[in-house]
Amino acid sequence: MSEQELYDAVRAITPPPSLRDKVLSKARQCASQRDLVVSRSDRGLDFLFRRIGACTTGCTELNPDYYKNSPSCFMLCDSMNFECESGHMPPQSVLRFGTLQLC
Amino acid sequence: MNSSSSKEMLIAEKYDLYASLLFRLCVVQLGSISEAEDVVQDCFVKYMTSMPVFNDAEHEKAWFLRVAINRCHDKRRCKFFKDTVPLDSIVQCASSESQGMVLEELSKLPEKYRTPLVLHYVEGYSVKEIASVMDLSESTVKVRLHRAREKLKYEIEEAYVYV
Repeated sequence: MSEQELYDAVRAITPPPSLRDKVLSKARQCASQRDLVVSRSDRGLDFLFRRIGACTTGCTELNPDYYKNSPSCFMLCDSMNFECESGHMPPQSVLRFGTLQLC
Repeated sequence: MNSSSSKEMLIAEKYDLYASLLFRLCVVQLGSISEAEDVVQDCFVKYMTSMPVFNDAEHEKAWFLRVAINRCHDKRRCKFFKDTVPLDSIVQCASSESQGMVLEELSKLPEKYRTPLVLHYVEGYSVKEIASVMDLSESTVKVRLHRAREKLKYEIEEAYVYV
């Protein structure tokens, strides 16, 4: 393996265009003095919802944009609050988890 | 122009300067595209919230690198990270089979070898600069670079034998 091969392989790693939008969205939030929330990846969300389990009310509504296969109906909204699509309140464990900034 | 839009323009400027570098480094360190995206976002959030003052451009670049390396380190130590397997893979970034093989073998190297290797051979950092960013002695960086190079070369040759 040559140094050039290593260079070319690593240079092939480029950030997705959507990442720029996410970062600039945070910049807008910051500039307007609102709380900053780092949106987690789908994989992270899926993992989170697998850990916290289903909505305590037994609601089975899912947010199709994020976690089709998740057992939970909660969604992570921009204000860092959790709620399911039916507006159910999350269990306390979710709120505690939220304060840990999702890991 | 109001302060809000000027701040956004500043962040856009910094993003265009450093995002690719940080993303590459994070993907190589974490072996996951989605985790790397999170870390890159964290770096810019930290920049926005602390707005540090730098002596020059190199100082600024080193700050971003340091934040990314520390954040990746925190991620790897996190129980949730240890207990999960990424759904995506570093190999997805490759545009050819041989590049995929290089990235796969690179991702298998011990973490302490990966970062100096990428900073030196891909980003063009000197041994002295890497030592400063990673808070290591220059001799340690030299040894790690040598071992990383040898190990990666050996692993790739072995991989080719089995193809």
